[in-house]
Parts: sequence; C-alpha cells; structure tokens
Amino acid sequence: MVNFNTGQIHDLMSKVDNIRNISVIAHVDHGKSTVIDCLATEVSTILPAKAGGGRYMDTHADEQERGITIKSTVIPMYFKLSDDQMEDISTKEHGNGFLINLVNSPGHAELSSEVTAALRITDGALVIVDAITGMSVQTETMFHQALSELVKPVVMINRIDHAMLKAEFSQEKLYQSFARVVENVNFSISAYQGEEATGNPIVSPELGTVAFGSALHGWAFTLRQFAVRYSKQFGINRTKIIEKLWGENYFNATTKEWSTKSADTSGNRQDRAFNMLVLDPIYKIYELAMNSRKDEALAFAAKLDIALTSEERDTTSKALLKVIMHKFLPAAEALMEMICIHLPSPKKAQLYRCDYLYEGPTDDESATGIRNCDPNGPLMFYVSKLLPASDMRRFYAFGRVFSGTVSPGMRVRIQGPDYVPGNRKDLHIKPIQRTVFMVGRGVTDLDHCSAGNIVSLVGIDQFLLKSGTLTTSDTAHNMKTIKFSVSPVMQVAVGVQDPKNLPNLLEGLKRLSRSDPCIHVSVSESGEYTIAGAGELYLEACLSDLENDYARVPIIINCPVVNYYETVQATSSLTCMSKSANKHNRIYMQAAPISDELTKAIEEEEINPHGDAKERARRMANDFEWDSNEARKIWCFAPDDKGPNILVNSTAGIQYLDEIKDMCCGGLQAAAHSGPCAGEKIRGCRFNIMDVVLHADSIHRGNAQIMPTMRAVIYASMLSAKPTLQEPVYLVDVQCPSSLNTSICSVFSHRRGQVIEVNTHSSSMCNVKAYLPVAESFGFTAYLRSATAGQAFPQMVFDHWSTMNGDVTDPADKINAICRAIRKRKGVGENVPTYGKYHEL
Amino acid sequence: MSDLKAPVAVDSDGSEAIQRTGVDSRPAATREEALELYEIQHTVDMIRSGGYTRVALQFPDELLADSSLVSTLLQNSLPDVCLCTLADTSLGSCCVDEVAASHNGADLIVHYGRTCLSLTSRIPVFYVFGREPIDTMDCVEKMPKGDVLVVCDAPYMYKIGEIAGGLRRRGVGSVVESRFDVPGVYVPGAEKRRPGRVWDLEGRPLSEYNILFVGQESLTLTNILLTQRCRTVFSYDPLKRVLREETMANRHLARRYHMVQRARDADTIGIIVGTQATGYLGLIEALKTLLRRARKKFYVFTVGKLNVAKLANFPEINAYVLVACPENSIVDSKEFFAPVVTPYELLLAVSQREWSGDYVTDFGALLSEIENTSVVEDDDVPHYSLITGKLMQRRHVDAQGSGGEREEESTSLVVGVDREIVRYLGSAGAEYLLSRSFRGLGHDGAEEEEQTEPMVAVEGKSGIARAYAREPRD
Repeated sequence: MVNFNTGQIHDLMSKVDNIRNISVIAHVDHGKSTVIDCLATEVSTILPAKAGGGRYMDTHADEQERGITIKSTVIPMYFKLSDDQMEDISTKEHGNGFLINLVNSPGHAELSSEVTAALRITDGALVIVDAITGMSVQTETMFHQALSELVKPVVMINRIDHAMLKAEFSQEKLYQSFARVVENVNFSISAYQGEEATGNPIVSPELGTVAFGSALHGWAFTLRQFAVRYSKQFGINRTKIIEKLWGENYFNATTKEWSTKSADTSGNRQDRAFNMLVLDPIYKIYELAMNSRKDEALAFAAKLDIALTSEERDTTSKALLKVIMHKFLPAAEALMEMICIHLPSPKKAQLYRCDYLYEGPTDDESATGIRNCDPNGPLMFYVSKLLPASDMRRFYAFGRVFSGTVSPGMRVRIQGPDYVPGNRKDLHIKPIQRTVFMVGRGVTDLDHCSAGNIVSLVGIDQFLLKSGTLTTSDTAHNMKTIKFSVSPVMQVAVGVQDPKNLPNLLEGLKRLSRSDPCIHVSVSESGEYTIAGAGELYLEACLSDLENDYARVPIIINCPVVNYYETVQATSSLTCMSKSANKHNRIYMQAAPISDELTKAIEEEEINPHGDAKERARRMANDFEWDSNEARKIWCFAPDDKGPNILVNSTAGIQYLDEIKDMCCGGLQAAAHSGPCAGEKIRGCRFNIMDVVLHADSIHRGNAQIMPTMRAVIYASMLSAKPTLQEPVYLVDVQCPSSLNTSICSVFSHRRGQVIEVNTHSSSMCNVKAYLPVAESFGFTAYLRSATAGQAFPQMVFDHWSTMNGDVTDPADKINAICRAIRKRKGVGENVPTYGKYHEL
Repeated sequence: MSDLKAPVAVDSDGSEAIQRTGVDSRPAATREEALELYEIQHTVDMIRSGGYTRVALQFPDELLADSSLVSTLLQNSLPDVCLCTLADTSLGSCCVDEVAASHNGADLIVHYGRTCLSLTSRIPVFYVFGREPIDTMDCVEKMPKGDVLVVCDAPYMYKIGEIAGGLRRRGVGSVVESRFDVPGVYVPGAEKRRPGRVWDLEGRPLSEYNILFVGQESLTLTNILLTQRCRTVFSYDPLKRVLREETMANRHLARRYHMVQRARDADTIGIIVGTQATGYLGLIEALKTLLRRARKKFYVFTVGKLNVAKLANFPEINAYVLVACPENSIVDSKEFFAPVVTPYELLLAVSQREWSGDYVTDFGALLSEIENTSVVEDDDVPHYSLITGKLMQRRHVDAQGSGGEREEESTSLVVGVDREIVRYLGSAGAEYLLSRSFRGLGHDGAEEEEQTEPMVAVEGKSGIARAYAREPRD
C-alpha cells in the first residue's frame, strides 16, 4: 500500500492516458471477491496520506471518527509497468505509472443493478469466468449490458486450482475447457456485433486479452508472460511464439519442431504446445507441492528461476504451493498488465463511446468535450449512483467526469431525466460543496478533478433522483440515462406497528429507493407501502437495509408476492358500452391484444409517444402490421403515458370529442394501473373507441362523468376479450453432478418448470437450464437442495412474461384462483367480475 | 325502536337519501315514543324559560319522518311560539345550520340527533340527543379488565353513569366516565366554555387507559380512534350487542398519512367550506396565510355537500382541504380524483414538521398549531415523492396570481407565445390550460398540425338521453 498525498493524486488524475476505469463482471461463486482481494492486496492501493498530509482531512474530523462506510465504492490502484511491458502501450508520454479505478459493487452484486451503474462510468470490464462451468446466466446478462454500454471486456478464467485438484482435469481437458469458455465469450460478443464502435472486442489468449489463473492461490498468467519466457529460450520473436502457444499448435520435444498436427509424421503423439509449455510446469508444481515432494518442488522452482527466501522454503504443501506459484506467476501482475495494455484509457474510450453516451447533437461543445476527454471543455459529469453517507441521510453523488474539470464551489446545472434543453423543468443550478475521492472507507477532498476520472460530489444530492447529468454548458443535453435490466417481478408490503414511526418508514423508503436504482417503491391508495424487486433474495437484502440503515425503526414485513399483468387473448366479443353517472354520455369500446413484439418495442421505448405521429405510424405499419390509418389515430399510451397499452380513436366526426380526449386518456391511465380481473397492471392491450355519445352541454360531460365511464368501458371490453394474466418467468441455471440430471428435471416439472437445455460439460458435471414461473420460485433453492442432497444450486434471472392459458371467469381454473387470492389481498370483492358488471345496455 | 343514525356525512351527495328504500328507514315514532325520544317536555321547559318566540327545529334526514309529530307535540305545549322545521342541511347534519335558521329569523335552534357539538356564532342552540335503549349489563359484562375511560355516543349518554357504575362494581380497574359538557342552551358569547366531551383522568396519561365507546360505528368513533392515543379502543354496539376491539386505527392513520403525502405534491389547493361552526372563518383565513407562506396557489370553494362530480369539475386543483367540524372533516373515500385532506393534514404537508402520530381536529387547537408552525422556507429544494416516483419541484406560484415565476435571464421586451405568458403571469390556471391538449375552439396561435377541418353538419341524436331515437335496442 502506498500513501499518496493530494498533490500526487491530482498528478495521477491529470495523466488521462494512464487511467483505466474498470468494472468487474462475475458471479460471486466464481471468485470475484478473491480476485479483487488479490488485486487490492498485491497492488498499491491508493490511500490518502495520514493526518497532516492532506490539508482537507482535518476539516472533516467528524467523518474520520465515524469511519465512513460506503456500500459501493472505487478501489483506486497504482501500478507501474516495466519498460518491457510499456512496449505494448501505444501512448507513452505519461510514463509508466498507471491509475486504475476498479469500481467495485459489493452487496447483492449478482443482481446486476450495482454493476449496471458501474458499467456506465467505466471503459473496460474484467469478466471472471469459472474454468469448469463457464459463464453463468447472470454473468452473461451483465456481459451483454457491458457490450451494449460499449465497455470493452477482458476475460479471466479462474478457479483453475479447482479444475486441477477437485475435478482432476487432464491437461488436454483443461485446454478444451478453456477453449470452450473463450468460444462462448466470443459467441456472446458476436451476438452483440451491432455495436461495432469498440472495434473488435473479440477476446483471445493470443492477443493477451484472456488470463488464466487461480485467485485463491494467488496466481494468474496471460500467454504474454510465457511468450516472454520462451522467446529467450527458443530465440523466437515474442509475437510469433505467442501464436504457437494456443490453438492447434504442437511441439515435438524430441525433434524440437513445431507442427499443427497432433501426431508427427511417424505417427507418434505430439503434445499441444499450450499443454506442454504452459500447463505442464503448473501441473508439475501442483503435483510436487501437494504430494509433499518438497525437495523436488524446490528444485523445480529453482529451475524456473523462482527465488525463495529461507522462510518461504520452510513452508509445506499448500502454503509452499502458493508461495511458488505466486512467485512464478503473480496474479496481480498478470491482471494489471492485461488491464493496462488491453483496456482503453478514458481518452481512447470516450472517442467511440461519446455518440452512445450523449443524447444531444454530435457536434456541440459538450459532445466535442466528451469525445476529446478535454479537461478544458465544458463540464459533463454523469452521476451514476447516489451513495448513502454513513448517517444514511445524505448522499454522495458518485459518477465520472466525461469532459471539463469539476471543483468545489463550482455552480453546475443539474439536469434530471426529464430535462429538455431550453426548458427549466427538472433543472437546478447549484454549487458543488465538495469534490471527494473515495478510497475504501475514507474520503479525500480534492481541489479539482478533470475529465476521465471517477469522483463523488457533495451537496447536490437533494436535486438528484437516482442519476443525472451535471454540466456547465447552457446548451448541453443529457447524457443517456442508464437502462436497468431488472424487472420488479416480486413485491413485498411493509408497514410499521406504531403509526408514529410512519414518517421514518417513509423517509427510509425514499432513501432506499434513491440509492438503489432497481427498487420500485410504491404507495397504494390504502396507504400501504410496497417494495418491488427482482427476486426473493434481493428483497430480503433491501429490507434488512431498510430496517437497519435507512428507516431505523422496527418494520412489519408481509410475505412477498408475485406481480402479474393483466392482458387479453382475443378481440372483444361485442362492442361494450358504458354510460356516465348522469346517463347522458356513452362510450363504446372494443379491446384487442397487441403482439408480443410490439409490446416489447413499446417497453423498450422504441415505439414511444414522443416524436412525429406519422413517422411512428409508418413504423408500426411496417414492423408490426398495423393499419397505418389506425396507427395515426393513437391517442395515448398507458400507464404513465408510455406503457404497453394503446388507446385508439376509431371514430370519425364526433362532436366535442377533442374536448374529452384528455379525460379519456386520463381514464385509461387510471385503469391501466389496475385491471378488472385482479387489480394488477394491464399489459399488451389496445382499446378502440368505437363510438361516443356526449351531452351537448359541457358541464354534463365533465371529467367526473367521462373518466369513470372510460374506466368502466375499458373493464367491460377487457372482460369480454378473454382476459388472462401474464406471469413472470425466471430462467434458471442449475449446475449439478450429471447423475442428478433426471431428479432435477422432475423437480422442475413439479413446479410447473420447463427444462430447455441440459448441457453436459464433463463426465461428472452438467448444467440444466429451465424456465420457472416466479410464483413457484419461493423456497425453490431449498427445495432443490433437499431433492439433490445439497449438490445443486440454482441461479435465477428474470427472463420473460408468459401469458397464462385459461379462463379467468371459470372458478375451477387456476388463473381464477390466482385472481381471487390477489383480490382478497387487495381487499376488493373476491369474485372476478364479468363484463356485464360494466357493460350497460 | 330503531336507532338514531349517524349524521349524513358532508361528502354524501344526497343520492343515498333519495334511493333509500323502506327497508332501511325506521318506522315513524308513535306519540308515546316521541315524547320520550325527543325529550319533548324538557324542550318545552327550555323554550319557555328562555322566552324564545321563533324556534327552528333542525332534523337530520333520517329523523325527518318524525319531524311533523315532534313539531305538533311541541306546538301543542307552546301555542304562542312560532316553530319551523329545517331539513336537508346544506352541509353536514351534525353541525347546526345557522344560516338556514336565520333565514327564518329564529332566536333558538333545537338540534336533533347526533351532533359534533360545534359552536354557533349568533343563535343559541339546544341539543336533543335522543335516548336509545341499551342493555347496560351486557355491555359491562363483555368489557375486558383494565383501566377504562367510558365514552358514549350522544343517544346513550343518559346511561353512562349506569355503565360506569356497572364496570366499577365488576372491578375491571379504574373507571373514568366522560361527560358531555353542554349547557342547557348554548348561548353564543355568554358561555365561556366550549361544549364537548370532557373527562378527568386524575393526572394520569390517557395512554394508560382503554377507551370503551358505546355506540354504532360512526365518524365519532373514527375521530376518537384517530385523535385519542390510548391503549386500546373497544366499541360496544348496543344494537348488535357486540363488543369489539378496534384495530383499524393504524390503517386509518396510514391512509391519512398517504393523503398528506399526496397533498405535499400539490401545487394548487382548493379550500372547501364544509361547516358554519364558529371559527371556520378564522381557520380558513389561517389556512390562506399558511398557503401563502408556502407559496401555493389556492381557491376557496363552497359546494354544499361534497361529491365526486362537483370536485372533478376543477381538474386544475391538485388537492382539497376540507374545513368542517371535527367529526366531518375526514373524507375517507377513494372515489375523489384529488385527495381531500383535513386542515391538520395540510399543515403537515406544507411544513417540515415530523409527524408524531398525533392527530388534531379541533379548531382551536388547529389554529394555534398553524400559527406555531413554520412552513418550508427553502423553496428551491425539491422533495422526492413516492407517489409519483419523481423529484417534485415546488412551483413558485404567487398566491395573488400574478408576478410569479419569471425568467430572471429574460430580457425580451415582448411577451411571446403561450408559455411565456404563463411564466409571466405565474397563474396556475393558465399553466394548467397549457398542459391540456384541448384548449378551446379558435385557439390563437395554434400551430398544431392537426387543425381540425370544419365539419359538415350532420344530424345528431334525437329523443331523450336514456334511449335516443334510432338507437339499437336489445
């Protein structure tokens, strides 16, 4: 560890070519924490100089005393490349000292919300993959996000020790396993080739973008290191030999000749170069050390030029193994080298990420500033997350300077997600109080921070919701808001025993919801608070944060429940009509389903209420088979003006219709939040207004008459159009011994699951992929464990919404039972109504 | 003998009264019953001793059936007094309808049925609560042990001593009975005390007591649940002879707190006049001052009894505050398009006070609360609303409706298009109009592409609304 004073930190921050902002993508089981620990202990973590060193430190003694604990943070590291390694770096003018900001996302990292926030402010990602099982479903999801954010990946294949010792892989099998992982990663990448700006993000060991190792035992390597070693030995150019060390290249130890075939001319087996030159020494060290052949091990180490101190020589077996391997192939060095050489500097990355990141025109001053990573340009700062301070009341605005320089006292424009240039909505102009550099548990005040760096700002949190853009340019547009891939499929209601704690609960919920971008907190009419999130485990973690950190009052937690959507399966069997309360106004309507593709397109905001109606109509006609005349008569999307339900005005020439348009839309917005069957949200429905009769006197066709009528007729038309529910479905990945394969399949079938893929990747292990309704996932992990004697562990990611078949109105049907249960919970009459309740004659 | 029903709530639109069928309405009282139930003799004595000459009898809707009988009985004993009957109060029937009474030049109002005991400002009032039968022994036996404060609904007040005595004899614990502190005739100005329920807990806090409420489920009970922070509230329904523990208080409060949150998001507030009880004008003034300090736009409405349609005619109002008597101000309906809150809730919404779980409905207490509370001064900081899921920026609307938010940077001489005008005027109404898609015909400067073409006149519907001519019939 090295202590840097503020001046030195500033110096590092100004050398933008030598900065690497990286995130880590990994599944927890694959050794993410060990890798990070390994890096953090081996490399110089930058710590602020102790008292007296930094002139700002003393002013915030209170913070020092309390020991700021921050949930998600950056680990800044300092690493010096050797001159030899510098050869592979294209821009050298900033010397060979590198500042690596590793944005760590502890906590429920496997649930990707924190990772998504981290990806935005980093340019490269270290993807950690298990040598045996390959990418997990969750890693894959995150990996896709990284690619869509134009973050360049490098891969580390981890847990080789596990493959060698526990699974007893042979050298060739290990190679095959590596090759398969690399192939999978590249397959994933090529599936995302749409984003070509990063150039060619394909990873390969020959290029040095794949590292192999065991973080647990402290070692890792890239082919580059072996190439350096062997280029001396064989006297071959390093770049040439690196190619020989991977793929179908074989070396004949007797003839000392290279070939591309696994057998020589006389038919003798030749060893793969990778196995022989790379894996063999490693296997040998493991064998000697683990089998207590200490002298041989030491001799072999000496042969490899590994110098050991006398103390180290005294260790045995595993400790000895670690010492030797660590000296032989130091993990931190290999990874750091890979990161510094192959991941882009902010300057390089912003050049191609700019167009993706910035919503405004590509040639205004802000875009130019971002593209050039210009410290003298207008300030462009993206706040990716609000980090709760230790008192859990205020937040640090955590993010990255993309252009310009930020300093305390600076007045900045704080632009929220609804900000439109030239308008004052969602805009605040406020000074920044402090600019702080977060290091683990502490903060250091900085005088300024220039483009390309990751910092936290103090004093502007009240003006930010979850993320936002800060700028000094009047003309700047927003930086693109991060899309989070987590859907709130499960929710839990919370409350307090003593009503006087309500304000605390509410404050806590607000804080929770602001600091976690994937949590949806909502309040029902009845004053009940619900937290919706991606799954059971996630909600549990959030609830404990809420109770202990944010609200700090005892809370009552109800059982988690699954969120459903209501939809229809057919066109209404008749044109429904409802009358207003005064019987003077009538609305006639039919409901019909919207195709899955269009529903998704609306949810992903490809089809949205903004922009030119004609353009949208053309797209809907071309891509989704809509009648373009009808598509032009779309009145609104719902809920929240952007959801996947559409109100279409199919009438012509009706007097006063313009006047009630807003009211009709309002009626749909309200109805879409709570459908007729179970009061769940409506999804994938279109509502056609067929005819309208209005009273001639405007006071009798006011809001109070139209809105409830609209809601009633929407309910009637849905109930006459084969209404049903959509339930969320998880994609489950189970890794288990092959022998358990069948019992796992039967576990799934018990729980309405559907096995889609069984992947055997070695004689003993296999992966089972299956769809599992979220409703069946409660306690699934425990159930699976007991069914397999603890040998199988599932990972679940939300995959899609599945329309349930059946008849809502049939009391014998399962859907009806679900509806009744939801209705009971919500305190509305248990019976699902028929359309007759809302349809009038 | 049927019950004296709860007063018609102020949010009832009267349709309930019209649609009510015979099943629900009690049979008219017989002469003998009426003498007892309506305390005829006592009333006669009061009127005589006070020397009143024009007396207004105010009946709630559900007792209207007996009004002529009562009127006749009184008239028989008071041949020289001019009696008139007031019905269909314009506001809540628990409040004394002073305005209607003064139309008749009455010098005394006799109020029948349940009352909130609000004060009048000009005309003296005599309250007749009525007397309902009750099995006090049953009530006493069902009450669990523990120190208890006995509160009776008005028609059962005459038996409170019996109930309290019974409880003491059973030895449930320390028993305190509440009294109705009502003078025979309340004369405005002459009385220093305000009438109401009073009790003496001998210095112990209420939180150590249970409350026994005798009466049917009513707004009075709701009010007690919300405002009295005791151990547990038990309610005894003499009709059903059931004692039950009231557990809804917390949910009630949670729901009310939700209303506070919604009111906090509101920029434009409607103040609804829902009572004529003394002090309402003062309270309205206090609320106006409060809203002015909070820089919110407000309008005052008198709409008589509330209903959804009436309030929905003002879509630009984001929240309403109902100034009504303590028992009537809580409107617990999900139907309204905008939240309807009580003055205390509004106070919580615009101030930064931490809510302690207390609830105030009393006018006097409210006034002092309002005066002692500072509103949110730091106008610039938006607040995060869980209801919209967004940061809510307070709109800087000047209460006077002009000279509001102006572009500081604007140097333009001519006020341009719509948005500029709104900004210039700072008028909430104008801003709302802008957000609508339909802004009236012949809208100046309308640049919508879809300028509707003039239509050829077509023949409209004819006939009556419930079945127009040429309409398909099944």
